[in-house]
Amino acid sequence: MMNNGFERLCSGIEGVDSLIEGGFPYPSVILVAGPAGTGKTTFTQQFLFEGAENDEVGLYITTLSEPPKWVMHYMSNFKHLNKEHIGKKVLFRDIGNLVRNATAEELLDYIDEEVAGTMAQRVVIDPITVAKVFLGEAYRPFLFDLVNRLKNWRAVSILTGEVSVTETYPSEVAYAVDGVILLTYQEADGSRRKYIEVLKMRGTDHRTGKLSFAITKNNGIVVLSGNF
Amino acid sequence: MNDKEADIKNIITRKLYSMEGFNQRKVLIISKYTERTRVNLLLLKFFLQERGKRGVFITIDRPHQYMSYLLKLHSVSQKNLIFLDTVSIISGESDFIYEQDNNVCFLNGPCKTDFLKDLATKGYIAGDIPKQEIDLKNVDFILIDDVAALKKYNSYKDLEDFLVSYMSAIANLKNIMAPIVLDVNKNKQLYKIITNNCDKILLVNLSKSLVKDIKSGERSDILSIQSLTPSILGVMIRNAEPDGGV
Repeated sequence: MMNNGFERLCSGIEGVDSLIEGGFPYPSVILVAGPAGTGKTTFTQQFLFEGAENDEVGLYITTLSEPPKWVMHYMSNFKHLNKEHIGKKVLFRDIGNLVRNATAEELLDYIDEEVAGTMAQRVVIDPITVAKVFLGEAYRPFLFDLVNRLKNWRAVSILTGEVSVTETYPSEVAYAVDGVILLTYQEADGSRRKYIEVLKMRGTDHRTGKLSFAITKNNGIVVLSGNF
Repeated sequence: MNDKEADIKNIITRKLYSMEGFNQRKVLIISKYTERTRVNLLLLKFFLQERGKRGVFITIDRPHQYMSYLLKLHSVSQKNLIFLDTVSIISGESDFIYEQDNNVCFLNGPCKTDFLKDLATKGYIAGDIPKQEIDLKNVDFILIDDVAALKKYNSYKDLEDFLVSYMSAIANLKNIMAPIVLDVNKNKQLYKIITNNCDKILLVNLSKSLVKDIKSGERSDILSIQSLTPSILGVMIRNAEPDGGV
């Protein structure tokens, strides 16, 4: 029998790789979805800086949530992220204006150019869901083409998805991608705990069910061993 | 390109030059899977730009236009390059299949593993566009983007047969250099087949600026991650989860 196991890239988040057979399939596109404040951007930064530690290039593309300056500002508080990688192995791009004004094809061309030019092995688009407002009916074909192209550029890409508290995940994106990770809140004993759940990970025997996680200054997101 | 990248490119270029002189045409290049595209690009730059060679790039892993795009981005002329694209037809990017690029031959999928015969046969499937016959005597190199990707579409036996006949054909042609790029960690069986048939093995780690000849006595050691010691590689190897990588 030939071993057909996928090549995988480790997530950089303590406790996540063991849920997904050691890492994200390479190449693949993963949706990390959740309401505001659940740690989506932190998740993506840990993913990119982990790659940089392994000599991989990471490309962070911010759309219309906050400019890279503020992402970096808040991430600077996390002690485990090596700032020497910024601008060398972790690259930041802001496409806020492009998302407002460009067509789907122009957006795809820009992303192609950036991913090809940097030859990034890890790509983040944070958040992707905002493009829906501007692309309208072109959004779904855009997602399909984006996912296909990102995989063909040979990267593990994370798209983040903003959802309201009543929504579980952005379904258009969830259908197009290879993996879905949900970050949620749940009220317990008068406080809100954060939970992570792997909803989908193609080609992977992934663990199911919600696991509690914490965000700390020293280690960022850490999945806790119990379900709490 | 920064200084570090230029250095590693020069080292690999020198190695490849020396192989031409010593008639070592079937070379296995061991590299991390995350560096496969970079290694392929570097090889194409060497053949097309440095040496002005004529060659064929066989795409199994992804449609040809991705490498074509990269070559354009790096100002590498593709006039002496033919793409044999086995995968566009199943890649969801069929728009490209009907583009009348003169230097692309499309096949009906990567399940068929007799590419050299395909290359020498008239009338490729390319929409309705007939392609010209390619005389392998006019080709200086053949590069496959990811030979391990064939595992997804072929049985082990078929793949073994393909590799043996491919390398035997290369040996008989006498004028073609044919590097095969492989990450050993996920492809130990392929590694064994290829090492039994290749002339030379090079270990390339671009991010660590490492290029090393693997001598015959070290070939079996490569199969064990534990034995990828600093003495063999000249660098510390991180035992990455879960696949590692050299």
